[in-house]
Formats: sequence, C-alpha cells, structure tokens
Amino acid sequence: MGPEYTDSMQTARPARAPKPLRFQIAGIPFAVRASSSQHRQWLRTAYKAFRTKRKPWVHLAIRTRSRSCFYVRNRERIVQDGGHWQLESQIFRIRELIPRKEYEAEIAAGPGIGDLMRAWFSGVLLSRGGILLHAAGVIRAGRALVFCGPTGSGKTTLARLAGSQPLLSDESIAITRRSGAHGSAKIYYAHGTPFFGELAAATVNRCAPIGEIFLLDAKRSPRTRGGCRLSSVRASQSMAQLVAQSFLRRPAANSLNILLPLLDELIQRVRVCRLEFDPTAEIWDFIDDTCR
Amino acid sequence: MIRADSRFKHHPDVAWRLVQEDGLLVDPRNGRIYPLNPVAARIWTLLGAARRVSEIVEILINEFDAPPENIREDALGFVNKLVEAGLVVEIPGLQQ
Repeated sequence: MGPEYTDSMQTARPARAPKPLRFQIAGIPFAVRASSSQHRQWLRTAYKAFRTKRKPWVHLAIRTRSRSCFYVRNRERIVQDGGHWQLESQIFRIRELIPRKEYEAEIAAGPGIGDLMRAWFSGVLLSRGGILLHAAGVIRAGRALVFCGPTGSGKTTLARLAGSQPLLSDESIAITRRSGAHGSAKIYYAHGTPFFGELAAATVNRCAPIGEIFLLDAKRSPRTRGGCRLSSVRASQSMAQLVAQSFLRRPAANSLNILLPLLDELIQRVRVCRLEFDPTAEIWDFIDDTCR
Repeated sequence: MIRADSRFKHHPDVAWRLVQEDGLLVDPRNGRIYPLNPVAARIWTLLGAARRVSEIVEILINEFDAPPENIREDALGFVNKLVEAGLVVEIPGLQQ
C-alpha cells in the first residue's frame, strides 16, 4: 500500500535555499551557504568588510544541528577520511567534499560560527599554500609588521598603540606567498582577517609585504620595563612558536607535512626575532630604528 | 634502558623538519612540539637511518668537539627521552 495522499503533500514546495554569501579573505573568494538565518546575519555583520562580488573558488555549506549530535568530550582534531580532511570539535564538524573547493559543515545551534569559520579557513588556506597565524598585524610604511604570540602576549596592546596605522588584525593574520616579477624570489604577504580580536571592527581587508615577524612571549620579562628589546631566535625556536600559533590544533601528520616546509621557507625569507616591549607609542620608533 | 646495539626508527605519526642546523619534531597525537639543537637534530637524522646507538655515538664523537664521554652520555640520555616520549620505536629484529 502506497503513502496516503494529503493536501499538504500536493502543496508542499521545497524550501528556497538561502542565497550564498560571498567573502574574500587573503585573496581567496569563497561562498558560504548557511541554513540558519542567525548564522547568515552574524556572517553579514562580522565579515562586512570582507564581502566580495568575485566568483567563489571555494564553497562551504553549513547546516545547523541539535547540540546532542556532537560529542562534547571530543577535543578538536583533524582526521583524514579517504584522502579528504575532516575537522571535528565539540560543537562542529567540517568535511572536505572536493579537495580545496567544496566543503560541508554541521554546527550545533547557538554561538560558535566564528570558531567554525576560522578553523575551516585555516584548512583552506593551508591547502592553498598559506598559513593562518595567531598574530596581530600593522601596516607601517608599506610593510606589514606581524606580532605573533599566545593570548596575553600583547598583540591587542600593540594593535591599540598602532593609532592611525592600518590594522590588519589584533588576533589572526593570514600569510600567503607570491612569486615576484619575472620569477624572482617569493614575496610573503600578511593579510587582514575578520577572525575575532577585540579590535575586529577596526580591521581592514588589506595586505602588505611582510617586513618582520616579531615573536612575543606570554609573560613579559621585567627587564623590558622602560624599554624595548629585540633578540635573535634560533630557527627551531622560531618554527616551534609559529607552529604553536598556527591555529592547527592537533593537526594530522599530513597537514604538518604541508605546514612545516611552508614555515621553513618563510623563516628563511623573512626576518623573525623576539620582541620584548614596554607598552608605549615609542615602540614604533624603536622598530623603525632597529629594523631599518 | 637503551643498549648500545639498539636500533630505532622514527614513529610514523611524528612530523619533523630539519631547519637550518636545528630540527623540529611535532607529535600530532598530543600536539607537543620539540625544537632540537644541532646535536639533537643530528641524532634524530641518524636514528632515521636505522643505525645502532653505538654507531651514532661514534659519528657524533667524530663530528662534534666535546669529550667523548659527555657525548655518549648526552646521546644516550636524548635517545632515552625520545623513547619515553614515544617519538621513536625500537626495531627489535635488528638487535644482535
């Protein structure tokens, strides 16, 4: 016996799919189709400066699920599933459908869309040869100064001291590389991102060639009171801090096999040093004098 | 306890990179990151070639300017730490 006929079956229409929102971060145009109107509104507001009309290279479909669909005991991890990466956390899952192009995600109802977007974009960026770093960035005299360090190391403090200088982010910087003119050495760029930060509203969707990368420590040394200090860092220590601040928490070995060579090349081409600083506007004069 | 004739191989899950003279190990199982100085990076590379610990010590004695006993002690200590951290695994079939 077949299904019973009802009027509702006759009149039911497929729900109109929401129009995808288009953004561009670090030169990568992408489209997000979110099933939740709250998530769409959040994206429109938080990523306002990153909207684009460019044709997307990458597509992400986000579905909202009940919180009970997620295993809260799980810590965030990246797994490989048949050659495609999958990222699982306590509140979302992201799956790569077509490498570097098409992704689907499920997220628990409520907050967390920003976390999902940042985790997803860090994977997309890595697959395209870029790195998302836990760092602040300021454009000064046409060069990007990147300040990389953990929470509490002074990224937001430095961003506040930037004054009228364009702020790329006080929290997350995307790093990409491009070949120079006529195949000359690669140039590394720092891009602004909309991923969090206390000063997210002041973030600009711009990029600039990287001048220096400054590593910041979680706790400032008492020696730096009343002044600033730059010191050289061993290559392995630079790499260790950059890996730790790369937003790839618990990455799979094959993600690391992409990340480590990228960082190795980065630290060979861009000066990386440790910065201890006193939080005054004199920091910029100090950087100008010592990094020229 | 590490024996002089023990041989090891890198754990397949561990990602690593030689960086200039240094090295870096990242264990994705626990997220730990291990920067290596030049001597440690050299030991790591030699372990990857399935050399006996005694061979590695001899190579280091020839390559680095330090008292042989210090080199032996440091090398064994470092290999022991790698074993404890699960970054290398012993190759049982090759022991004599």
